[in-house]
Amino acid sequence: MAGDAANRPIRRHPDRRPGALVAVLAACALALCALPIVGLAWRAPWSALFTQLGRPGVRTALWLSLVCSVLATALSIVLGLPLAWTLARFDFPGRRVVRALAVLPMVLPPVVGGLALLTVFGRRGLIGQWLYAWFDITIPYTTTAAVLAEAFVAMPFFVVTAEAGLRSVDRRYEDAARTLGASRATTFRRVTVPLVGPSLAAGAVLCWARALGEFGATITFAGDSPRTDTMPLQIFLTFQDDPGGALVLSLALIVVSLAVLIGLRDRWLGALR
Amino acid sequence: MSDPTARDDAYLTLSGRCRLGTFDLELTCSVPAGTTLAVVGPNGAGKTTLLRIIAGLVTLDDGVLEVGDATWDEPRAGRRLAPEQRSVGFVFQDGALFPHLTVAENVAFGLRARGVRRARATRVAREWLGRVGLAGRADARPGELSGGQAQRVALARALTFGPDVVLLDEPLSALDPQVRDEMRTVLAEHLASHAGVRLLVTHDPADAAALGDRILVLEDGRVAREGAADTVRPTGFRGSRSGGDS
Repeated sequence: MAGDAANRPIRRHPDRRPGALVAVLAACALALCALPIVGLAWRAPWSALFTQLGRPGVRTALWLSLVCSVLATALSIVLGLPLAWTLARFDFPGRRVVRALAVLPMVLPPVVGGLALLTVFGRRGLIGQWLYAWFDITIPYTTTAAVLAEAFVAMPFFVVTAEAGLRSVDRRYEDAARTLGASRATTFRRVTVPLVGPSLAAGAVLCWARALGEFGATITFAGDSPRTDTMPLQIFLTFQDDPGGALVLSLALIVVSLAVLIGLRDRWLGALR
Repeated sequence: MSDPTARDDAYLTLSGRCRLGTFDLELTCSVPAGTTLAVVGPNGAGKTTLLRIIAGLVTLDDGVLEVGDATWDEPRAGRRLAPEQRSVGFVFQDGALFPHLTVAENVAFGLRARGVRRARATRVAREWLGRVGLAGRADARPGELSGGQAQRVALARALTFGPDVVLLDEPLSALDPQVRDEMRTVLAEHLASHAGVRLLVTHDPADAAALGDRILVLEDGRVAREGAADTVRPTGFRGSRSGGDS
């Protein structure tokens, strides 16, 4: 495939190793990313591993984290893909403003995001007051709130990646599909999605990872309760009176996320290479 | 033969204008079924745009496009067929084969999109690959093909479903001289056996003379000359030897 052809010249290139400065800086970058994990593993009271993981609150939190982050990712894809498509393919007044709004949660402190969500979905919020008055629905401090908070923070990661992917597709393939008799929907499904598949998958993984780690918006908007205590919240709460336990839980979260990432790479991302 | 085939009464008439930014295309042309109109002209003359208008990839601002008794585009009457509703086979400049599908899946795409079952679509696709001399490459990926092979696949892909109109955009320009002669022969053979309307865009007067029944010279979005292939000299326009068109 094209990927192999693109790789070949690099291997034959005379510059076989990075220069000294590049190598040193790259090593520092790696250290910055990896050393904290090493520290975590070094200081963690391993003997407390099973007692910590056995606590009922911990297992619930781990499960809740997985469920909420997957739901938030699904929501981000269902809503974010049409948004990415619109931004990538259509020229309309205010497109730059829309794009800025779509990535706003990336630059917003998550706590601010949580407060903002309260002003919209709270019982006296913009939409929340009507949900409460008409349907007797309260969103804050529920699992739904945890999912919404995670989606709010994580969706931009999917939208940005998907939009870049959609922009990079050679439109002639879509034109060809249309002239061959495929509707817009069929063209999207059979040509566009397979071509941008790697971007969509990368966006979904980034989005999921961000959702899994989400803390600030969740604790502000969804609060602390057995229905909303995801792992980051559980870790923070444990840290208040048992720092060692918090380290163990952190490691558990890292292991689970790595396991999911590696599993996805082999099963799903691997197929797209 | 049970393959779908083009209607032999599909007379194409186009009279209209289209503005794209500062570029302005306005022309009248008609092509009877069973004939090839070769469209020649310098870069930027609007040759590719003309094909895209007929395929429905670019909309007319004003005018009428009719094929047989069907109106494909008539902005004033609010009538417009989407590209997938038009019976068009489009051979793009360098093939535009779907890189994620095999050669056979590429050729079967038009039939599959029209609701033909996979088994039958694959069989017809393989037949067509045989006709263009590529029976052995059905399971290859487009990236593994040479330029000439890719262009043959693109031709087969555009013809499988028996389109009333075949549009060819510079099908020879990306090929090496030797492959080019070969491909010209393949094209001539398949165009001659296609019953519908054919339009061929080229910047090479020799290709136009070899493949066209009539020749239309386009310059700056207007028809400069038009006539039978043996009466119109397609040479002499600006930049007649330069590369592709956009």
